[in-house]
Amino acid sequence: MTAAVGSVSASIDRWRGSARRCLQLGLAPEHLVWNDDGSATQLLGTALPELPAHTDRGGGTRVPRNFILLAASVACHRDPIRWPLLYHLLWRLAHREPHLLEVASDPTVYRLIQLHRAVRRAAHKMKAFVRFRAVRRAESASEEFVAWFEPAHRVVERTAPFFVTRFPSMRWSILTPDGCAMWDGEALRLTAGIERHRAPSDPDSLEDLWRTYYAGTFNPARLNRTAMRAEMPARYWKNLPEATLFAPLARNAPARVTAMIAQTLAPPAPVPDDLDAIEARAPGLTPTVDAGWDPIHDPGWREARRRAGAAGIRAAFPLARPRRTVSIGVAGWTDPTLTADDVFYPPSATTAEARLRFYATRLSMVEVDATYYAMPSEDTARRWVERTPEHFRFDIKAHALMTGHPTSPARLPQWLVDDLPVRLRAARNVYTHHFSREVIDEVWRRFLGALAPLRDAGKLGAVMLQYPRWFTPTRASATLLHEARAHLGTLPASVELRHRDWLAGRMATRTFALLRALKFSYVAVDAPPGMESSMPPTMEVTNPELAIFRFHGRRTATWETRNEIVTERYRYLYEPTQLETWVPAIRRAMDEALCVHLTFNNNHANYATTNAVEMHQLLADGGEESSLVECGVLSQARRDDQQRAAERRSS
Amino acid sequence: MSISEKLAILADAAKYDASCASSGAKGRKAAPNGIGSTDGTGICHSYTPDGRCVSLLKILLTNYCIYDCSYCINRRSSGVQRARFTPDEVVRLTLDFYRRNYIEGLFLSSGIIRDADYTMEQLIAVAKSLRLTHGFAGYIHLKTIPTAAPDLIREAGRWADRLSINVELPRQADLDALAPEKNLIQITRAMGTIRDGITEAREDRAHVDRAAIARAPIAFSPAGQATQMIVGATDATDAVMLRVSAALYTEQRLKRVYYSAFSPIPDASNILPAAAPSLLREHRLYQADWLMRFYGFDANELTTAAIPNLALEFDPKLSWALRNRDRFPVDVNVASREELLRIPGVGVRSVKRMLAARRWRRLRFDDLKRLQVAMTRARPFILTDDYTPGRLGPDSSQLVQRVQPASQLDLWSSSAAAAHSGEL
Repeated sequence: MTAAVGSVSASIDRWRGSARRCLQLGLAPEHLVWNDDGSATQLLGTALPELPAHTDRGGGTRVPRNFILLAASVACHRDPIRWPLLYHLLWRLAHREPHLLEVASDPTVYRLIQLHRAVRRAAHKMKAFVRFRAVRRAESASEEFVAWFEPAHRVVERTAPFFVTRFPSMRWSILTPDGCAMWDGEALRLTAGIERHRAPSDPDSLEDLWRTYYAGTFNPARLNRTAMRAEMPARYWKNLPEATLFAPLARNAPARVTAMIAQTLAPPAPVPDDLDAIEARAPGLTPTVDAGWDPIHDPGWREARRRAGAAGIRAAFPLARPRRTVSIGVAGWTDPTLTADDVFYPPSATTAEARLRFYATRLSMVEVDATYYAMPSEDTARRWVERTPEHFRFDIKAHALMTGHPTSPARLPQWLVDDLPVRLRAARNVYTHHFSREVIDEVWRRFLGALAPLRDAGKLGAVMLQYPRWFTPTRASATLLHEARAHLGTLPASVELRHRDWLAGRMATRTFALLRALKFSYVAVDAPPGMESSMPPTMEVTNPELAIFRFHGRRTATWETRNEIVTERYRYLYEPTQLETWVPAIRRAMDEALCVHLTFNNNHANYATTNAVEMHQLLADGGEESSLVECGVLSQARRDDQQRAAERRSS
Repeated sequence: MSISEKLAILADAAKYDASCASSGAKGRKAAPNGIGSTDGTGICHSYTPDGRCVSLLKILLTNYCIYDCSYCINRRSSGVQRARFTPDEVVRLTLDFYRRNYIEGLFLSSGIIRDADYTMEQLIAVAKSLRLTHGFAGYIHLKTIPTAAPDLIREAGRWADRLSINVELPRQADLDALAPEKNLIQITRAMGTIRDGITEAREDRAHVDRAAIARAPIAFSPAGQATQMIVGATDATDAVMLRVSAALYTEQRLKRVYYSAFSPIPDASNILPAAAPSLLREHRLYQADWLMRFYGFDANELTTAAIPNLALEFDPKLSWALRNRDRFPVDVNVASREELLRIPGVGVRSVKRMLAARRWRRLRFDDLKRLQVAMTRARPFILTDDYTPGRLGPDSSQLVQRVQPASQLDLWSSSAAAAHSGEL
């Protein structure tokens, strides 16, 4: 190891000295042993004899210039065979074969050329794969650029001048295990190598932009990973910012091509007449036809699992500070993309019971969406209570008929179907207004009745009323909200609105006032921006007991497409930086409400669970909150809840 | 729209241009307060999973376009999302990427907006700002719009390392069908403007002393001009493509012709084939192209009247040898350079080494392996002092089976890299 630290130029000088001496002493290659630092001893370990005085000065063995160039290159190779091979060649050049270098078919020449090519390739790959990161030093205002690189051979000295020529006005350093090169704008310094952990590791913000470019320039129709690996060997991957995209880009390519070919069969889009018409179309609102695939926000479940692991914390307990709790969860724990092997659940969790029990060891609340499609039963609710710890909360989504959504008669119980006019019983969808008022009242009664076990155990977070896009701010809508509250009685409930007019201008104040009066928690949403149904990311606490945030992902392409498979629509993994932007609003909500629920609805595979854990960590990192168990607030929160439950029962 | 969103759209829109090469530029380095260098070899800073090199920041200034070329994702009638960079945004992006050593430079192209001249001026503005305001000495490739004024094309040549105009389709009939606004005569006329600019600059350099050149370099697209043809979008045969290429190399003195297998694009027009691109056909065209430029083959030798397309199962040199068995076997110890170059499995570099080694040694069979000859293909066609092909030779009726590669896939993957290096 000690020898390896020395610079390559020192070792080549040492080798040249030794080789010249050996040649003059007439020592044949087979009598010599070469050390990695370029020095030689005789076979059996005897040191080289001194030269007779008269030969030492001239030195003068003439060799072809190409040999010197070859030796300087081969010296960078890591294989110890380079020195004996070079001496072997030198010996033959000096003894009756002065033209040997031109005979590329000679085995010795061939092997040296192979070594030389490996070095040349390593140098070339260094020029290609060094990735600088901008660093701003506190003491100087100017930017510096630092790269950590692991070359295949010891080519740092050889390649540093290239970077000097290319980046004369930048201050840069290339750090490697073999040696470091530093340029301050005037002089190049070469120093000893360092270990990886001593190199700065902060990513550069430009790397995201670079990855965006990289993903964009890839043509999925031409997938050829063999060619890629041949040119960019895996040994270099760990220091390339774009490497995180290799696997996901390749994996998604066939599906993208199939989609494009299928799409070709569709009729062509209409032709606008002139450029003005095209330019007039507001950017951002034109449909993206290749819904494409967004590698940053759809990196696959393995990457999401890695990130969840890196977050390094379980969000099993709510975050708390005195009399305030934040519970984080996802929408549904049984989605097939979530229950798939290895994604989230352990192999042992194969039953509904085992999954919910496991889920509750990871997150502290869950939103139940199944109740939107099918009426819950009291038995089910009782089982949910039994299978979860006491701090666990359920937000239950109201049935479609309770919020005016369409629903399929096929999924309705018989007593509801019977109420429909005969012509509608086989219809694809029916709406609330197709039923008699009495029957809808009965839906409410049965639905809420089934939730009694959750309510009694203090585990009912809220009944979630999510209204359709066409539920606009009208008098009729206000009446419906009043009626909903009448049905609910004192049960905790939340309202998610999906038409932006509710928050447009002065309407926002009236909307919030109405919700406040009816004691509904306003649900703040994060969703793809710029759509008609996307609400602005606004938080208003309208119920001092509970504030709710829902995160839908920002997958623009599928947001408003009808009949999109749910797990496709929500196929979006937030970047931690995107989550961070919500932290201030969540903290404000904590000041105003006793409980805060954060629900991740980007439920494709483990994207939601990963973001939930990451959000938990972001909030925990903030400092003032610590785990609920530690600060002993759990019992207090539970007492509060139980007391509230008792009050409800008595009322 | 954020820079990132624009970049995603405008990189995607540019990726159907095959070329990303940064080679061929003359050595150039930045002033002490500038940035960038080129040294002729080109560097691929990354590779995408399609095995293609990422050397330049290859983007469009905008993907709005007044043209309606069926094969193009950016055509007027496409429903693709549109975006537009300002010249300043492109300059900043190029420099930011370059400083981090992500790229060798910029390859800038654009949809045609307003008119050809206006668009060309925008492209020039980017290159000029990089060179003059920021002292950028890295590689710049500008796509040239054939209908732009000759003065603008000449201006572009002053700032760019390479100019290119895409022929796209080899016959006017193909263009009429798929790219009604394109005109082959206009395209070749514009190519002629570039060719003359390059020639004049070379002659000027020859008459000015070296010191003067160092002070104020006279340059005009020093890395030459290139073009691209799409393969498989129409029924044009390989014979047609190769004859067009040959004409472009000799008459327009192009540096490179790129072949791009027509690849399905989102929201494609229905008059195009909806199928995966034939990467193998594209690869064979590149091999044939190399044979014309470095191996002394004539376009007409590579295909026949009866079979106007290159064979997919053999490389074009092997196909040629199978059709011309009477010229083999070749004795590698006496054959001329031209004859050696025509042996299947023997590359330009191998020939150079054979000729050098032959001055001092007789070549034997094992020597050829060390000279990087692909022996499976070469074996039936050569003679050495210790080897004659015998039953394996060119007269053998089973020759075709003998040289048949074990599997198509292997052939493709092992030679995929060759498409970039050009080594056969």
